[in-house]
Amino acid sequence: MDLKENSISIFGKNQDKLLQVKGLNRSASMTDFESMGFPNSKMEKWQKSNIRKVLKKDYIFKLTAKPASVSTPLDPGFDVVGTVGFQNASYTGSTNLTKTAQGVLFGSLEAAMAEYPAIVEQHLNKYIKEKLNGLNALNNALFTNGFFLYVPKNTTVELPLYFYNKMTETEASFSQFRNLMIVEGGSTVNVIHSDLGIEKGSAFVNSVSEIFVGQNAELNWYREQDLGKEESLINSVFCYQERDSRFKVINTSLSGSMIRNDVHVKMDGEGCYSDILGLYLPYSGEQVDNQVFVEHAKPNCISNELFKGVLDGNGTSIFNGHILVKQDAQKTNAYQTNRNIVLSDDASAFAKPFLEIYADDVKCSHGATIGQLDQKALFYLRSRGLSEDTAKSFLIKAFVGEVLEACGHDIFRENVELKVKKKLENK
Amino acid sequence: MLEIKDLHVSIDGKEILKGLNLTINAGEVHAIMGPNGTGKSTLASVIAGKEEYEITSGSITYKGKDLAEFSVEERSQEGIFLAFQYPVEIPGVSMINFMRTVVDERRKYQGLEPIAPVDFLKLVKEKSKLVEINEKMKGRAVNEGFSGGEKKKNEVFQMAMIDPSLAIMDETDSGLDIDALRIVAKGINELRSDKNAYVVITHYQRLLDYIIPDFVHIMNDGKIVQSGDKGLALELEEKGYENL
Repeated sequence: MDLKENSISIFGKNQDKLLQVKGLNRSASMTDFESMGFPNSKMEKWQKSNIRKVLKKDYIFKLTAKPASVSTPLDPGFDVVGTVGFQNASYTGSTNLTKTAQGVLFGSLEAAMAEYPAIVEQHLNKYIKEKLNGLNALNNALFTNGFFLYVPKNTTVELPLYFYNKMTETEASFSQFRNLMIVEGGSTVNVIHSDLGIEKGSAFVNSVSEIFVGQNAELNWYREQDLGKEESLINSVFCYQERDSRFKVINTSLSGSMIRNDVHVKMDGEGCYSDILGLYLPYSGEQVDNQVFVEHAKPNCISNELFKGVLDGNGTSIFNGHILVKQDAQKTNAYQTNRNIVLSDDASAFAKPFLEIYADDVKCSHGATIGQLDQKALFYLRSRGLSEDTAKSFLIKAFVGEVLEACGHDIFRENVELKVKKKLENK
Repeated sequence: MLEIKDLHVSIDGKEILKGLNLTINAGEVHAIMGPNGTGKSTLASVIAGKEEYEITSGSITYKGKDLAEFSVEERSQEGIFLAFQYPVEIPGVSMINFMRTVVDERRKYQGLEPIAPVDFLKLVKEKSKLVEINEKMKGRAVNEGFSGGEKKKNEVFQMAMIDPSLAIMDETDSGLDIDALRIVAKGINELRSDKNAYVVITHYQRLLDYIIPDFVHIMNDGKIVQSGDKGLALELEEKGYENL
């Protein structure tokens, strides 16, 4: 049975057990999936994608059960307001939902659906619709759990929240992961997020995150994706911004067979700001695919995309950036940059910047480069006595540094920098 | 210290140096002058070890060793320094981290422990005075957003930090206003000793008012066509290359 048929059959067997939420019709989503199927490389947004390789495996479906053995929760190594841990896509915490003195709620989405249906229903499946693909529809139909965060109005959460999902099994598993983050008007929160795997793992995670950033609210989301060589993650983000809100996401894709980040941002009020950044290091056997869709629906918004990658071996990267400026969105400022350094002859970087502009008073720019390390700079550094390797690592560190600088959390940034350094040295 | 014999150098099959001879001893300052495109910068790059250039015949001997055997970084460790005509901007690499690594790599090559932070800061302070480099410049990325004068001062600052045996100054004076030129020249003069040697490549006799050379060579078409003392530079200034 192929993965599509298997998905349909799993849904048939389990649909009665799946939690229902108003506004989410699981059967209808399954019908959507049945007609769309999985994406394939003939589709425009999936060209050059290694999706076929990922779908080929025999997967065991991960639905609800708690993991048989829970490893000790990960210590992020910095002060947090709380940690929400998942292992093999199953919630591991002892408290399903935590409510802080400020009224901030965080924990498992499953618990939130049961205990706070009113909050969940207001946002779940609201921001995903316009850009649905087969994987998103399947996620809608089959997801059981994921991170949940709710920050009530006018609340500044000083310490970050730490979210993680660690895949710890060697068997090939397929899970649908669903996150929901709601930041109400006037609030500020920082989320640090790790998607982790194991060296010999074979998991495939299809993750969807829906995000609401209310009027004048701010969400900063710093992410690392550090999976095993045979593990894959397809991660779709749908962010909806109200006026004067600020949203920042940094996806650092450190390792994994195939990592894909689809980030959709809709700025649906004036004065919004969004920063969408990515850093990726696909080496042999790895692919990182970043797809960004930014919709400027209202005037006076700023969006800034910066994606940088270092490729080696036969690693591949894809960047597809699409900025849509609607007719109403006058005085838009939208910037898009994608830069790639290709260290080997066998690596391939694909970049496709795309602007679609219907307003006539806007400032938009895009640029993409694919090249090698600057030979002049290399010679300069070596002429001062630095070895070729040291000189190269100086230049690469400087190159990726621009993305990491945007990370507002020093300890997390240093952790990622260390992982980057390790990967660059162990090629 | 340096002996160049019948040096022929090509890049992409085009011969640039066509049988160049030059001998430099410790304690000497040599000025190399000549019109554009005669191979002056090529000579500098070849001594520093730039790999695009191919030595088709002839030899460069440095402190008794065949220089062709050494990589770019080994030449630097052995005491050769090239001050670039166009110092490269390297965004994201901080000047101070870079200098720290430069100093430590040299110490490693000499079998020494890394420098203590206090000593490093002392060294930086001492050497930056030499070229009147300001504190802010050291906190920035290597050459990024530096003015032309700042870049050249930064080359001399790095040279002072490294303390080379043989320094090649490739048009260090070009693009400098008179004040910056004076500062750069003063820095070089203070670093001069009987243990090191300088090759100063320039178009203009102006620099040689401040750095008095022991020898002046005129290059043309890939060769040194005339050598003399500092008087030659003055003569050149008066008559131009065509009439020599």
